[in-house]
Amino acid sequence: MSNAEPKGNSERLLEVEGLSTKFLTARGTVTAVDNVSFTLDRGKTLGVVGESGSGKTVLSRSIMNLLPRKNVERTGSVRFDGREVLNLSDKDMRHIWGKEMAMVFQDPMTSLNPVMRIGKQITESLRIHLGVDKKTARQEAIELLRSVKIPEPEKRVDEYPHQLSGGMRQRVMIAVALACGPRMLFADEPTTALDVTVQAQILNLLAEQQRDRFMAMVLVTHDLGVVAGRADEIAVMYGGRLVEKAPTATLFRSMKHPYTEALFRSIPRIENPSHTRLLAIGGRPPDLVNPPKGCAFADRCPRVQTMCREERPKLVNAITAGHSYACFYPTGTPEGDKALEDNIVAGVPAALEVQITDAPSGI
Amino acid sequence: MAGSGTAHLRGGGALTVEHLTVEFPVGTSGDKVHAVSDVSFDLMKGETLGVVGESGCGKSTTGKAIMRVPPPTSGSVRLGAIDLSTLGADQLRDVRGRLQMIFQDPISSLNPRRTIRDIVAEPLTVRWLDGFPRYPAAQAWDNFTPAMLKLWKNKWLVLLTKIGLGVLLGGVLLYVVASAVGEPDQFGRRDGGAGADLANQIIRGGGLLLAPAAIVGIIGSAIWLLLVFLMIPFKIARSVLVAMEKKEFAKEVDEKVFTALEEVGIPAQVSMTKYPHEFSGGQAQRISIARALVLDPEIIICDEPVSALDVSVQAQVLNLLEDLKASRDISLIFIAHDLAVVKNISDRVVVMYLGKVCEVGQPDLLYSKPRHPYTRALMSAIPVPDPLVDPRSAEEIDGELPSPIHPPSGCRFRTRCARATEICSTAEPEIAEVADGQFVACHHPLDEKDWHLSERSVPVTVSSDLDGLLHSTTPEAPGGVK
Repeated sequence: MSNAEPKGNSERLLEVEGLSTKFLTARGTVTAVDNVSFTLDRGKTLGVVGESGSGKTVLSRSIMNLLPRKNVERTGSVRFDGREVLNLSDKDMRHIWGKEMAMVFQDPMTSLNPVMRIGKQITESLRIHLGVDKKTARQEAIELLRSVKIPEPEKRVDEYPHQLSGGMRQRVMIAVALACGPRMLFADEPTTALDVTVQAQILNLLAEQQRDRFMAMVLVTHDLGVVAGRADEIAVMYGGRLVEKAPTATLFRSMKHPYTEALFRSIPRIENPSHTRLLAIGGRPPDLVNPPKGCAFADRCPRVQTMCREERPKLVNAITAGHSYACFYPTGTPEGDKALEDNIVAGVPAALEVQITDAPSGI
Repeated sequence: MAGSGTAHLRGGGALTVEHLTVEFPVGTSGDKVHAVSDVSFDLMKGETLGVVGESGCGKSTTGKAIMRVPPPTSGSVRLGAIDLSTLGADQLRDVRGRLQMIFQDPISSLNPRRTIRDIVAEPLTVRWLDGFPRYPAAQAWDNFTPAMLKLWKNKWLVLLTKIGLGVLLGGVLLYVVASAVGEPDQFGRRDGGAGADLANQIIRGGGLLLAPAAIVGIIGSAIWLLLVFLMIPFKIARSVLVAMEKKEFAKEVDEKVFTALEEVGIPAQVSMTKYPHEFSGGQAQRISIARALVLDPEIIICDEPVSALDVSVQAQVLNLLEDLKASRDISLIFIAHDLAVVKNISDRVVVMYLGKVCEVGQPDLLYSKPRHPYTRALMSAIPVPDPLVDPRSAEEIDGELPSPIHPPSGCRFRTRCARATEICSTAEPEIAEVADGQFVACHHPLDEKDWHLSERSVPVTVSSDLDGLLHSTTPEAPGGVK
């Protein structure tokens, strides 16, 4: 509401550079986020896509400084609106949380306080950050509930979370996040726990609020379909690393990383005839305590070659502006296709899977 | 929407559900949650039937009602020719081997404190205990034991024994007491005088009565004792046999569990002794599938088996189910809220809304030519992995599901339907065939001019282009060549 006008001089709101997050566990050091860099402009949306365990949630929590202080090691740099926020204390972060950056969590059931009326949960940050009096805060809460399209907000404001459906609760979560008019919203799998119909409603709501408030948004999801029409840019993560990053249209037009392609082709598409074979990514994500020496995706990759297991590919720029990927044998290049053909001949399981899936497909 | 009728039943299915209704009482108010209201469908052998709808539409309740957990309020479920509602608990357990279920949350549907081997072996163990023991000798003895026990506990025998023994004891006691009183005669016998005479008279007079009682008492107690002594060796011999059988059974189970795990792609050798927390969601779901397979079922009911999984893992599980269906000739009921998933795996789809059937048909037909406004709305909610499709252009269903305690009159979808008119609130639509093999329950079904929407997701030229680029071996991907 209050931040309709962009503050500051630069277009750039968030700059993340070489961010690594390590958890010191009994088993060893888990590198959950490994040297991730990206930038986000005001009012833009970045989609972060990856499987469970790819580090996408830890990434957004690292940026927001929401991780425990103990046994967590963060290095690199996070600049928010030109200010370094990586090493701020909780006390300093408190001025940023809610007011500047806010987060919508995955599970609306567990992220709302079950014994607090929803009105109070919304006004909590308003009263603290903006010093609003009780009456105004309540009015504000009702307005917020109305803006997230909750029917009868005057009545709902005094209800408890258990009286609401899953979709309604997620709307309340969004209202809580939006209360202080943040300039940056992290949506961590906001719709994974919801039905498709409600998912569409919530995603539309987020997009609408983002437009109205000129917020930047990081939309974290495992489903490429969710970010396709909604993100300006997409970052694909695997094993804690960024493996491909591109403006949305470019990414879908010319995917380079085999992992991105595999993610894309594992989605059942409504326009395909029924019983279309889906491309499954066999195996499991790598163990982050002992990450592989080479490319993290090597064990599951249909295009894997000896080099992939020995050397870690760096992010390189593609011809198209803003498109970068980390792969030695990218999709759609002669070397990549040759690698795939070689692997099919050699009987690499992942490559055979691609071959099987390729056969009946092609709408 | 919200329609009743049985026009879409084909007859002769592996599973036929007719007029299934499930209602749950709400407190003591007398109100009821109308979870499933008059739903009918059938499942042919080797077919996959998809059931799709939002949360709260009764699709999971339908699945569970088929398994009779809990039994439906009314309606019939027939497995082949067997009506499940007529079966007792034992017979039902027998039948459940042919009808298995997979649940939504793979981790919480596996007992965290049991090993994978024990989890997958559980159905076999239950079945084994039902037909236990299988050795004929042990079986014969087991048949004999209850008869013995019955005789042993027979109340008439016990009563007779008690009376007989009582009379015998009483007589002896009376005689001893009687002969102990009075003066001894010349032979040293005592004459108890009046008391002893009376006792003698009673004993002699009652002799006729007492003798049979005494005999019965003796026979009864003899049988009793014999039974007790017989039971001991029986028991010992039986436990030896059972131990042998258990060993043999454990081996057999190990083999079956091993095969089932391997079949679903879990490395059995290393996994049997592990616990569920050591597996990822996708693997845990595979283990659930192995558990369902181990009894060789004819039908598996999959209740949102992929909703809790990532897309890439979802693809693995869907492919696995397709493979199993082909290799084992099983029929599936696949319950999910994602139409794209349901379409991919199903041969026939049932769309449900608030406890009623909206539309039934072949998936390809349903998706290209939806007849029900709700089907179309569900379809448009699916995120399309294509940046050229604006998700905001999609038709969104407004509002929330109405309360199933007081569902709307007439058609239950009318409160959220753009096409609703007067008749929708007064008359409930009947399921009727609108095209070959496509059935809909709607007063105002969609037709050709409404189908433009399904083209939304198929920007034909772009899509095929994109596909061509992705799969092509030519390096002409615009922009990206390194």
